[in-house]
Amino acid sequence: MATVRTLALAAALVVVLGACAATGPGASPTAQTPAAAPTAAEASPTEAPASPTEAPASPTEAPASPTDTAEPTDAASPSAAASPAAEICPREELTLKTVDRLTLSTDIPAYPPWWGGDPEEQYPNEPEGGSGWELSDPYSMEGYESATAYAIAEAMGFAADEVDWVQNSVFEQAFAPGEKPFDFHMAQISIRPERAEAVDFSDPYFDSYQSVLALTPNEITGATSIADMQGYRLGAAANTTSFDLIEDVIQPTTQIMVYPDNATALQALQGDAIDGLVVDIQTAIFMRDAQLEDFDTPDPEATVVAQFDVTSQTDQMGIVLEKDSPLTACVNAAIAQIRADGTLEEIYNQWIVTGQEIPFFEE
Amino acid sequence: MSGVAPTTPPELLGSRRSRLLGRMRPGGVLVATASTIVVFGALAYLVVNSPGWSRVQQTFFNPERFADSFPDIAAALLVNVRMFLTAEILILILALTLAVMRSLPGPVFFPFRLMAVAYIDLFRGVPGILVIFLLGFGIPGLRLPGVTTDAFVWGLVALVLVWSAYVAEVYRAGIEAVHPSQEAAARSLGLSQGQSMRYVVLPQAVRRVIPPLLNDFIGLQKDTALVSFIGVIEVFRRTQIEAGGSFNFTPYLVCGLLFLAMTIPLARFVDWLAARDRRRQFAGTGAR
Repeated sequence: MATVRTLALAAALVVVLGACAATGPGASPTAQTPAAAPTAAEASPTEAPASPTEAPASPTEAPASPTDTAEPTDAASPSAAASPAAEICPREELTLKTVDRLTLSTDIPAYPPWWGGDPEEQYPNEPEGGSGWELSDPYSMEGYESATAYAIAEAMGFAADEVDWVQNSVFEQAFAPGEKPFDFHMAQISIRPERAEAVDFSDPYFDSYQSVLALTPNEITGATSIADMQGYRLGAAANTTSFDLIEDVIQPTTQIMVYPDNATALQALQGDAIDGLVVDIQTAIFMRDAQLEDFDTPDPEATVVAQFDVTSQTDQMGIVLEKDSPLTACVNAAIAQIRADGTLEEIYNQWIVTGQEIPFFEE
Repeated sequence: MSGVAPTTPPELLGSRRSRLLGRMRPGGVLVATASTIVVFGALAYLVVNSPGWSRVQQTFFNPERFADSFPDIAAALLVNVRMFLTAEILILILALTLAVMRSLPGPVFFPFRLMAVAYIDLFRGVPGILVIFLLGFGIPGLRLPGVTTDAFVWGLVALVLVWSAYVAEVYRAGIEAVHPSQEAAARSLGLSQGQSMRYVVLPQAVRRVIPPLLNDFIGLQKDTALVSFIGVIEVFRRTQIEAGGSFNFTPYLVCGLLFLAMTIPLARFVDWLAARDRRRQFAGTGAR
């Protein structure tokens, strides 16, 4: 008797679940937002190649034009009338989280060289009482991403004091379904076609290359080719394309180690749990020069063993927006503008240590 | 071993399932079915017609991502299985030792009791993740020659340390639940203190605590995910990697289902074991 009852209830459940599953997979939004600016690297949900090769030249490839100014771009003066991006997307017509203000987001803690400034300091465009950031302060307009964000905001017609920052403490928050707490999110996120099914990506604002960081006494520092790396214990932070590089390109013979974030991965490197940390070259240089260097001894504590060239993996960083956001086109127009007028290159030259002296791995 | 003893009243045999359904008359089945359809149907209607459903469905119930991520996640689950099976064996041994140490009577054994109590207080009191971090990063950092730096090993050791403390308390509860007269009777028959513990107290104690032991075993299974924090790519980390690579949460669903596929059969097994035990106890000595 009990079996009959159970079967009846189970059948009822199946009916209900079936009803759920049957409803609307076709209802998912697929329309591509109209791109006003030339978007060669537009991350189309289905067709985009793994690495958009036609992307407009990003700062890494752009010829170095002599730009004498070393000051961060002063975005305090609203120059809406002069900005072509603001003409394409007049700011009165933008759909924003907060009326007439831009709400931007990045990860907390915010790491150099992407972010700069001092969280303790009160910046003129910062709300009263500080913003409670850690390590760096996006309101400072210092650091590559902060400066780029304010340059984009300016191109869209927003002054520096019309920009608010929200904190993103969990990586997954940025792509969880539902309404986003930000207009756009910038946190060294690589553009991937699969990811573009869940969110909108802007055109790339940075080309990033991977490298291997190691402590100086370790044998791994003598490695010159990708094959040399295979026998060492390698680690990376979760959710990074660095991990994909280890798994797909290096294919080590040892177990790959993955840590929750770069800070923990660095701890593992220091604790000899891994021989080499795979991380993008700019972050590696920051770790080498700021986080691992103790300045007490003349010898460097860590070294960037080598970097991986374009054939191994290139990541293009894009800004994350809500899926099918009407803002995507406007952000792209702004990026195109700051790229064309040299602002992006200026920011690049100011904040990014290229690491050109670091050798490439042989195939 | 012929199943139910004829003398046992049927109410006492109530399995978990029949209690879920209550004492229903035949007509009650129809009402229960209808009511189930209405309630779950209403909930489903509400969810499916919410404005964000199509996005949620794409993000959490994407069949393509499900198929893509399933093999990798299932393979990573084997790391957890290997870990919790090894750990459980070590835990059962270590915890029993601790519980017996704690139950030793008399002033001579005071230092042993003290050690057991200190151990249990320490490892039950600190968060498991802390022990995992300390061992996982601390021991390789010592650079001791000949000592492994394998995070899997140190994660496993940390889980054994923490869970033994819990399990020791479960054993102790079982030992204390055996009536003192049992031991007194054993001693009066000429068994030594050790013998009466081994042959009289422990068999009864362990049998009583099998359900809570398996409960802790399920807890341990889920705790293996914590070892991901020191670098081991186990099922949770692999799931996160799959999710982060595609910005899709479906891999979490895969992970959850795989865990349920392990834990639900185990829970039913515990129920069955408990029911069998109850049958045996009520069956009296003659029924065996």
